Amino acid sequence: MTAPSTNTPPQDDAAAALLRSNRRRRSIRRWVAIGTLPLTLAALLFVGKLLSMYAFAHQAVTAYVVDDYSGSEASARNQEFLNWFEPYKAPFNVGTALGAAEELPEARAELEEALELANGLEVCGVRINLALVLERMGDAARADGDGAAAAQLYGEALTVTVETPEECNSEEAQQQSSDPERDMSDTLEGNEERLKQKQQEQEQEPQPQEPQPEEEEPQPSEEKIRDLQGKLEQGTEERDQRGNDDPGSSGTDKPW
Amino acid sequence: MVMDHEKQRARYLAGAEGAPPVPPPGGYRGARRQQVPAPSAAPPVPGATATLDTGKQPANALGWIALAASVVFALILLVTLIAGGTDILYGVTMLALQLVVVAVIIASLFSARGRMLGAIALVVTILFNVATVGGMSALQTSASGSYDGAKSDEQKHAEAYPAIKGTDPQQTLSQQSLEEVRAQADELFTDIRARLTAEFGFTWVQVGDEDLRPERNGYGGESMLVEFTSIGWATNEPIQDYAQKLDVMAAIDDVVVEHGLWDLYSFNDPSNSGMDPSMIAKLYGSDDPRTQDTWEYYTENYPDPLRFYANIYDLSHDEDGGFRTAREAQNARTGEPLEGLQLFVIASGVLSEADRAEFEQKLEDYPGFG
Repeated sequence: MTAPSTNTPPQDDAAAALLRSNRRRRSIRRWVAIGTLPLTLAALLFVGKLLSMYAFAHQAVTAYVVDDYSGSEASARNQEFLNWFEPYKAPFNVGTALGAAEELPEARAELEEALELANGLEVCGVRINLALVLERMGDAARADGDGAAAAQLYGEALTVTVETPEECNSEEAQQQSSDPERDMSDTLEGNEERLKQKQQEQEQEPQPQEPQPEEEEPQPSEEKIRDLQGKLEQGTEERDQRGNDDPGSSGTDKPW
Repeated sequence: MVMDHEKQRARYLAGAEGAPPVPPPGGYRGARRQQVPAPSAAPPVPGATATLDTGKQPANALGWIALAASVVFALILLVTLIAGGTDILYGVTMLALQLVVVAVIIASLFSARGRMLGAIALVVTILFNVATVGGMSALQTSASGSYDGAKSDEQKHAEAYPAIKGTDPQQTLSQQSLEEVRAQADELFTDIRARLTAEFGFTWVQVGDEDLRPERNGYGGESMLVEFTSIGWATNEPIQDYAQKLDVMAAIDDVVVEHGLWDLYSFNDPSNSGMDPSMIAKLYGSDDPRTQDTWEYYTENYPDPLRFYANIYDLSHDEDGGFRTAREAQNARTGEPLEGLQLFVIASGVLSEADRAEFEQKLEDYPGFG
């Protein structure tokens, strides 16, 4: 009597070894895939974020140019998601679009946020647009008859303008300007002069007063009244002229 | 035997000096490898990977379609990029086409015979897709500033409006022209210089060049109007005495009033400035005119557009050297004296007489604008 043979043919052994090898290889591949999945997703997210920045910024500018301010704002809002790169741009673009849409307090809040996030020469354009929004808020207050608020807002706009770094007058700043057709230095200078004049006009504007006995206050001369009237009319005209389709008169009126 | 020996020598050596000998007929003994039968008879194991060498299969139609679609779509994107069509690249049509291409590529990757071409198509699409090419195009558009393509015909028409939105064009035509402003500024400067030279003995130097800056029309384009900045005039002598500064400004006030302008007023004097003292201190070095490094006086000839400025720069009140530094930088740019009196004129929204006829003609195309 003989025991049953346990020997297998050599080809069976080779096939089994090959299959073991395949299983091991597939297992390694699977774990490599699982292990690198977070890195892959992060890379995809990174690339997607970078590319989307260009797309949303372009859409924001394009919509702004055709006076679609709500569309511009919506595109700029999309830049706020994972706002890691050049973070000032999202609130800057949103604020500029809101300013153009005459939503001035909201525009001011966004541009002030942008100013906090901006570094170096990035602050130049932000300061210009923030000053223009403040100036228009002052214009609106004056139109509503609130001279004190108007003077306060003109003063704030002037402060924002005057505190603009000297570097914003440089050629490098001009090259980074969102409005290359206008000289940034000229824009800043023009804004400063205009704001000084508006503050001066506001100072000279007669404020509403309680009725008082005639003998207590000497009446201004007719010439002085004409002077003030002329300046007021000019101020209104300038406001209308400069407050056109952008937040103010200067060139830096495009989101980007 | 000799002949055989010679034959053998010739076989190994003739015409092949230095080459190794060729093997003998039939090969060396034991040179053949052991032939192991292929494990074709191995039993199938669940989950095993097929290892049979079935030979190279040609790619199927799906693979070719994926490759062709990705290449053609990449070419379309690149042509659009060159044509400057950023808006087209980011449009819905391109996005839909991109999704179709991606779907075909994914389908080909699930097909064994289309996988190789599908992988190549995937690489092409990763490199050239709506996002990457669109990003390049957006950068190109930003650099050139050419966003006009998105404007409607109506907007493009408005963009060419020759006047300024919110301003009556007839007022523009009735007020001083560019040439008149320039002439009045020259007369004003001449009289002021003569008066101050006579009274104070000042000598003068011309500062900077005349500047004409185009003004926007409020509809996204440039108007035909310009902002005029005159050449400036500066004294060679410093003016540092408080009383003399007041006298100089009073003399200038007399002259400007003679020329039909309003009285001068001071931006830097807290007693009549609209700015609060802290801002005055920031702009002029102090809120006390006696210790200020800059005086700035202003007037205008409203309703005409001329605006006149008279500034005095005084380095004797430079507390920390910052004002001197700023003045030196300005001197380097324009060559103007570091201190003393400066006069200049600015006029916004003025029209040249040479452009008047064209301005009026263009206005006819814009009824209701303004």
